[in-house]
Amino acid sequence: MCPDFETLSAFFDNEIEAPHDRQIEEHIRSCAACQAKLEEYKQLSEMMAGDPEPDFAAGMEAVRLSAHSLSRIKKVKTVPFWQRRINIPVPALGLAALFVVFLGVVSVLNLTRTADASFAMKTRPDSSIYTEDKIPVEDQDLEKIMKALEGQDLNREVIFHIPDESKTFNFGEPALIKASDRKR
Amino acid sequence: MPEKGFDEIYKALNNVIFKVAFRIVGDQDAAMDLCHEAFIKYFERIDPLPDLDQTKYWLIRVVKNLSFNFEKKRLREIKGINKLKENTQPFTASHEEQVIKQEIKSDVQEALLKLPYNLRVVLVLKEYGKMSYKEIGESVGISEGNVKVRVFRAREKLAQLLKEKINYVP
Repeated sequence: MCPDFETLSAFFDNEIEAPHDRQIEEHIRSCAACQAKLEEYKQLSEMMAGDPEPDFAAGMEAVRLSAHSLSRIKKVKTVPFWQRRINIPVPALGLAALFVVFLGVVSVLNLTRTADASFAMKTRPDSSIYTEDKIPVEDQDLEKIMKALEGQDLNREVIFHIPDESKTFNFGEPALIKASDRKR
Repeated sequence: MPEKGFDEIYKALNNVIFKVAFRIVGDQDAAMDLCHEAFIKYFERIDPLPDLDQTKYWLIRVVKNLSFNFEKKRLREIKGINKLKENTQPFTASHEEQVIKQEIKSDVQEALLKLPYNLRVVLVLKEYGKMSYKEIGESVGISEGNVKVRVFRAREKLAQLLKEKINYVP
């Protein structure tokens, strides 16, 4: 009995296992139909193998070289973080720059802004009520304050108040700063 | 992957890898692209393959997987050309025919491209890749029995297509 053509196709590919391949081989020797089918597969295989192919040597050499160079690029691809590039959209960059400028202006203004409050000098002529004299900001110099006091009655009790939100720096005689009433 | 090793492997395998790629996609440039991508992928592999045979099967599997996208593109183009032929004036149709004629390589290749993709891949791996049914099954992800059936069907269909082609005299 003839094997089916699927088995013959597998036989042609040497894919039939040991005991069966012998049986098929023996059968084919005496069967013209199976011989013809096997011959057909053989011819088909030869036709495929003999089919002309494009000349690919040059193209494949280019493929090889490209694979080489690409692999090299991939090897050095790791860029240290300080060399990495980042993309920032121009509007965002502009906004950031504006913000920086704004911060700068505000901090400069804060530093240069002089205290809006002036030193308050409370004097007590007698033990009844306080009267308050304000010395202008420009006169925060100790000497000037002293001069301003010169004309005053020396029997008066004088209390200096440093303004609460003073932007002035603490320098000069520590004793004087200690003496001034910061607590109020 | 050390470069020396790569060159040896390339020398030994570029022939068979190109043949397989070319027979599946039927276009030289597309086949080159597939080979290029496959060898790049091989370069990127971290763990080495045990021997040349394993490397060959691995590369063929990569080529086969990559070829699927080309097949989809090819089928879309054929569909598009057929649609164009139906809907356009004769003078543009003749131009399209010229394009098609340029793509045709030989009777065998033309017949191969007419085979369904699943049959074509298996027969190409058998005839041009010189792989066993077991190896083909592992590459394609099907059983040996299935490979046997597909190889047989592909042969029958290819023989039929070639007979039609040879008998057909325009």
